[in-house]
Amino acid sequence: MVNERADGSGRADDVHADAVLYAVDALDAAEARAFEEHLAGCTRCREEVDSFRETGAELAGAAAVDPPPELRESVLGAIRATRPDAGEVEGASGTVVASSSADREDDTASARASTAADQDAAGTASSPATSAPTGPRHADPQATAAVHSLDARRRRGRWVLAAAAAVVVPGVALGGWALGQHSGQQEQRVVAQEHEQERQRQERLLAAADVAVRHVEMDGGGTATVIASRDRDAVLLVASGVADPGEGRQYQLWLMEDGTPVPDATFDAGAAGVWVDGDLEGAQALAVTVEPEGGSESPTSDPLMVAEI
Amino acid sequence: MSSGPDAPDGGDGPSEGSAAVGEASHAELVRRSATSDEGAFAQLYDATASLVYGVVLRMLRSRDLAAEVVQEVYLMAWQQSARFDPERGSVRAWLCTMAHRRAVDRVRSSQRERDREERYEADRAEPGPGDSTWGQVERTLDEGEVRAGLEHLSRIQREAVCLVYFRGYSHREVAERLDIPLGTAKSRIRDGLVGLRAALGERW
Repeated sequence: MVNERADGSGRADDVHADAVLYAVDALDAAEARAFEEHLAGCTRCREEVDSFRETGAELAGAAAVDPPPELRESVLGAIRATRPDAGEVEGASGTVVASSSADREDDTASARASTAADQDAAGTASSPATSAPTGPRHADPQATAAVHSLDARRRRGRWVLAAAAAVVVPGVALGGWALGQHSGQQEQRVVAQEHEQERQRQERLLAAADVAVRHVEMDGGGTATVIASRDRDAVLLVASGVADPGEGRQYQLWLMEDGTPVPDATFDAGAAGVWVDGDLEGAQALAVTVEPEGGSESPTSDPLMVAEI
Repeated sequence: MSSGPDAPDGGDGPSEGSAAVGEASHAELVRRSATSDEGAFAQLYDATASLVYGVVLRMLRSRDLAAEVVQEVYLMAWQQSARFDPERGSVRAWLCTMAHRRAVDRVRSSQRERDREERYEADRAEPGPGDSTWGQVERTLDEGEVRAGLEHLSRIQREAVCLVYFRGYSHREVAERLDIPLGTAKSRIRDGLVGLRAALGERW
């Protein structure tokens, strides 16, 4: 796709008129960025953008469709894994907002999702400012009454349920991801920091414009969710419901490069999220086999699943 | 300012149709969500999920993909709830903006899929492509102001608005798709939305 400058069409005098197009995501990425520079200093355009977003919401409202009930469980399971940002972000390193708008030079539409001019209404995953994952939770009795599924048995720490939700709704596995491995309470404090880094890593993947999610049934039971972004050269595999591979054996990932399996990370049945170590360039697919503990140099068994990446 | 002639009241139903309804309570739910109140967030989800899911589903036309994007949107809403500014607009617009944008990212990044779809549609396209989009939209739109507002637009404006909002097209793609100059595409989109906003009455 041609990536012309927004003002290449000689309509610089017309920049206010782009507010409506911007509001409904009808500008391409480069144009949107150019418009955002204008937007930052133009009250009139901000009002126009806000106003047309209301019009957009009206359109959306006329086309409402009730989502599948499982989605609710999945969403609520996912949010339990994180906490809201504390408003104005301070001291947040590795902010997704900053990096995804600064790095991007291509024509992906998400670049515009993250500029300061627009951050309050924008749609990027954001930087977690604080939030060790084990913050105190108080069960608000009123809220609990209103939402019966949020009962006390399912408070924080039961990540397994988020994974279960992902199994119930193939197609929805985000959020609960790699949190399954830390169920022991005494471990929680120790792993908090690691856990937070993991979460940020996941969020960066999730925020990638080209993030793709596939759900694949594993032979022998269970489901693998493969979340991949070539922009970020990152792949996360989340396995749920997979069987124990047996004494002295582990699962192993393989990057398939033109039909040749390149050995990658190993993992156990209990691991909820596994990052691919290798370089995605040249790889077309991800496969999983069962191998002797520690992994093999070339597969000794048939793949349990293969997913395109 | 026209207020909805038949706006129902109450903000908790999962699929209420009209806009300004329950806005105060939605904003309150977002405010409480920012304090990690999961119950408030669950209520917010219940009050808005059909809105968000509807627009995403229409754009992505895959229930699985739509579910993923909706989950991403609510995760973002949860994390960014402290940044919601009621002065700038409604909760519904805030959520729809995130949802639309996120879905647009998906649509535009899966160019291959788009190409395939266009070939498919080209094969069966007697009327313009925007027409069939509108036809699909029309069949499922609620009766009411928005539908009346859309019908109030000219056919060419309506198809441009539908391609942009319900299919995630950029103005450039609209121009290519309808084989019209860029400036014309921009004007149609703009005029269509201006007309729609006027028909609906400016609420904000």
